[in-house]
Amino acid sequence: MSGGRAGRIFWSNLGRDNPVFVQILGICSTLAVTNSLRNTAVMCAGLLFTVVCSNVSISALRRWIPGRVRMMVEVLVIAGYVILVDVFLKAYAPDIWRQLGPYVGLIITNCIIMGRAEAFAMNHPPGLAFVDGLGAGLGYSYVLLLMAVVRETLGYGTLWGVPVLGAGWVNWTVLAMAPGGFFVLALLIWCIRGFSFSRGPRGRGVAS
Amino acid sequence: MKRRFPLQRQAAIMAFMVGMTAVVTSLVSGAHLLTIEKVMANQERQLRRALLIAAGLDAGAGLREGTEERLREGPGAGIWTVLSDDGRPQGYLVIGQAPGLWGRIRGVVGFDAEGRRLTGVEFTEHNETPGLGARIDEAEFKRQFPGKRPPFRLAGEAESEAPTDAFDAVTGATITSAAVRDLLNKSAERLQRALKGDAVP
Repeated sequence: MSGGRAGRIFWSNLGRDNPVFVQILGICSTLAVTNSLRNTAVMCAGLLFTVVCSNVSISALRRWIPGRVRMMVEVLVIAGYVILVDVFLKAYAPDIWRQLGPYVGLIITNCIIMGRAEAFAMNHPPGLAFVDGLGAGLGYSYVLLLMAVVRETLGYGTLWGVPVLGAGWVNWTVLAMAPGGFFVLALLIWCIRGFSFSRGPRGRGVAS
Repeated sequence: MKRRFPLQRQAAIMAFMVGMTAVVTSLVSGAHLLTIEKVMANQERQLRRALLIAAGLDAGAGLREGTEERLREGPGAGIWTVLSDDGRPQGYLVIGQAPGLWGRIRGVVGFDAEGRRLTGVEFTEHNETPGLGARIDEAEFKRQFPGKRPPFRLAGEAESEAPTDAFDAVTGATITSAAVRDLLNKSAERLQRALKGDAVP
């Protein structure tokens, strides 16, 4: 039973309950880092690590966390993991750490992590919380990577810093700037929802 | 079952919170202590590299043997002298800073022996917006500096070929670009003052 349930939890995070294009969470970082594929990949790895670890830790502690201070405990645990990511990057990938600047620290305030901790980890066992964290992290990551490919290619004519569109390409600077993030995300949400939710109601349907 | 005394309950909650904070804080501090040497070494190496790039000595891949020994600290705090092969100053490096949009911008500004012409600029620290202000750290932006003469200003829109005292700003990052201009000008002034003080033995 647990296997099928875990599978459902995992896949729903990637599709029907995707944190980015269905729940519209974590948008700040989505808009901020997706103009460069490399930064996006690092951001996604940091978020994946944090959401999985915090989900498992909070789930393991859930019987001892007093209800009144549960959010303080959640933030504390999340912040601890994020600082670990920050310290690790600072020591072993200083160039990327310099480029990402404040965004690594801002993983703490990413609503997806807090959301999963509060909505899922607080009332599920660690195994399922792990699967849920993995699903949420990957669901966030693939959407961001997709956006980064579109924005970096059209905005700078490069991919992972390597020129791909040739010298004759005129950069769509607007896509590299913040408004471009909104445009790409909005188009993506429109396409995905139009494609997947238009064939009649499907259980829980679109998130409220 | 009797309800627990509220004060006792509150004390338990506070004890839990204090305990959790202690555990998380010690984990984070432990990680910091484990990596501090590595981080310091990274910063030192980054500063060295920035000094060489600003001096125009780092052509990228191959550093010549003994190049590092040609850097001497002084004259003045945060200023380095680049010595030529026969031991005379061939240029100066100033570690400058200016307030950017989100935080301090620090960089190494390289000058020739008279302090009248740039040899290069390399940033060591900034928190500018990725994709906008952070583009000051891209090679394309920094490439325009060698050969320019202070005092600097931002090039106007109509100036297709920027004169020697003007440089192209980053589009969409005016505040950051102005901060870079201030950083360069302050560094040039500091060097001139240090050189004048140094001229009297």
